[in-house]
Amino acid sequence: MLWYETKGPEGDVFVSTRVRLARNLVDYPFEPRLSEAGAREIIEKVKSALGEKEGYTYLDFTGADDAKKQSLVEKHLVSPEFAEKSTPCAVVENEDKQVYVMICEEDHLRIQCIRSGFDPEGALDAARAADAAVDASLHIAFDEQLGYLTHCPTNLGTGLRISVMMFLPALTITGRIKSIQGQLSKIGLTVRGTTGEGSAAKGCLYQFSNCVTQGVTEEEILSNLREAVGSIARVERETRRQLLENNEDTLRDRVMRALGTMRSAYMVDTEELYRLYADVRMGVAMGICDQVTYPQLDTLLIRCMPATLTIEAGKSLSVPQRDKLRAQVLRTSMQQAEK
Amino acid sequence: MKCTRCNAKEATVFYREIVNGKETKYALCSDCAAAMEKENKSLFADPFGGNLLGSLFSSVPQKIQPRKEEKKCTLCGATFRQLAESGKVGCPACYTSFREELAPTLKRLHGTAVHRGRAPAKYQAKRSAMEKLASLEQNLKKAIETEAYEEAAKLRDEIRALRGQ
Repeated sequence: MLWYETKGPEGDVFVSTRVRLARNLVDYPFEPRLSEAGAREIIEKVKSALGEKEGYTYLDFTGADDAKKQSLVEKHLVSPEFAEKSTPCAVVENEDKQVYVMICEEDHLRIQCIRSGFDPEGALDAARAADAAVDASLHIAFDEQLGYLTHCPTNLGTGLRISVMMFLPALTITGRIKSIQGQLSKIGLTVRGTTGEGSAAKGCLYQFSNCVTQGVTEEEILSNLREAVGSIARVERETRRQLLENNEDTLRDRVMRALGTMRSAYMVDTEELYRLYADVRMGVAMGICDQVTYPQLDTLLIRCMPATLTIEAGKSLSVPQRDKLRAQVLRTSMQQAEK
Repeated sequence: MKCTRCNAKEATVFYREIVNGKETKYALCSDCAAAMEKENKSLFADPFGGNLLGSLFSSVPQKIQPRKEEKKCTLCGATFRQLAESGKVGCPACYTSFREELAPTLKRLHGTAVHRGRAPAKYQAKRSAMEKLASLEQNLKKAIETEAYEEAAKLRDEIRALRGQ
C-alpha cells in the first residue's frame, strides 16, 4: 500500500512524514564531473547492495516516460529535480513502497521513507534499514569531524532531513500562517510549498523540515522537530476551534458546497481540486462532515494530479479532457466513499 | 618571462587591471605577488558573486595562487575557485583537499559543530574502541594513584592490546 492509502497518526493536521538520508560513495565525483559511465557504475553498485533478495525493486529512471516520472513526483516519492534529469539515474523501492532510494540525484544516494500522518520514528527506522544495507557493502564517504559528506555543504553531518507535510486550513484562513512563517528560524524549521523548494502552498499544505544537520544526533533532530511542529499543530487546532465557535454557519456552508461540487461537477481543474480538497478535509477535521476519510481524500488528491491522471487514462489528454476525467474520478470516488 | 617587479625571478602570476579605462599589466613571481597582496593590493577582486553559497565561499581570505600551481582536488581535479562559483563541492574528497579553505564557510553554515550523529559501521567500531581506550586510561590513572599496581599492569596490557589493533 502506498503511504497516502493508509491512516497515519494525527491525520487531522499531518498528511505525511518524510525522512531523507543523503549518502555518497567515496570514489566518485558529483555532477557535473560525474561521467555517464561513473553514474552507471554507481547505479549497478547500489542495485547489488539493495537487491531483490532483500525485497527491493529496481526502476531505471534514465529513459523513463515523463508522465511516469511526474507521477512519482506527485506522490512525493521522488524530487522534482530528479524527475527532470537527463543523465543516468535510477530508483530502488522496497516491498511496501515506502522506502525510495534515488540513485544519482544531487547526492549519489538519497534514501527516503515516507509515511502517512506524523511518524518520524517509523520513517527513520525504515530509512535506516536501507542505509545499513548500503553501508554493509559500499564505501560511504564519511569524515569523523564533518560526518557524512554531501554534495552541498548545507547537508553535511547526519545528512538527515525530516519533512512533514502539514494541513493548516485555519492558520491559512486567518492569515496566522504568515506570522508563524516569520518565526520558523527561531524553532529551527524551514518551510517549503506543497511540491518542494520554491513552490507555493496549495490546498493549505505546507512542508516543514529541520534546518540543522550537523553537530546534533539524529535523535536530537527528531525531538527538536517533534516539539517545533507540535507547537504549530497546537496553534492550528486551537484556531480551528475558535473559527468553528464564531463562524460555524459560514464554515459549514463552505464545506458542504465543496462536497457538493465533488459529487456533481463535470469539469474540475487542478486549482479547484486543491480548494475542494482543503475545504472537505477541513470539514472532516472539524467534525462538519464524515462521509470521507483522510486516506480517501489524500488518495483522491494524488490520483487527480495531472500526470497520475494521464497514467490512469492510459493516453495523453488535452487540458479540458483531463479536467473532465478529474471530475469523473471525483464523482465516482465520492459515490463509493459515501456508500 | 622575468617578473616585472623584481626583474630577477621567473613570473608565474599574470594579472591585468583596468581602472578608469587605464590598463596595467602585471607579470609577477610568486614572492612579489605575495608582497603585493600584503600591501593590500588585492590581485583577485571578488570573482564570486551571484549565488548565495558561492558568496559564502567568497569571504574566505583569498591568497594568491599562481595560476600554474593552483591547487586541485586529488580526486576530481576541481579548484577551490570552481567550488566557490557553484557553491557545491566537486566530490567527497574535496572536503579533504580543501579542508583549510572550506573551514570558514563550514563554520558559517554549521558553527563550530563537530559530527555527533551516526557513522558507517567501520567508523562506529573505531569510535567505540576510542571510547573504551579513554575509559581504560582513566582507570589506569586511578590505579596508579591508589598504588594498585597489579590492577595497573593489567590495564596497561589491555591498553597496549587495544592500541595494537
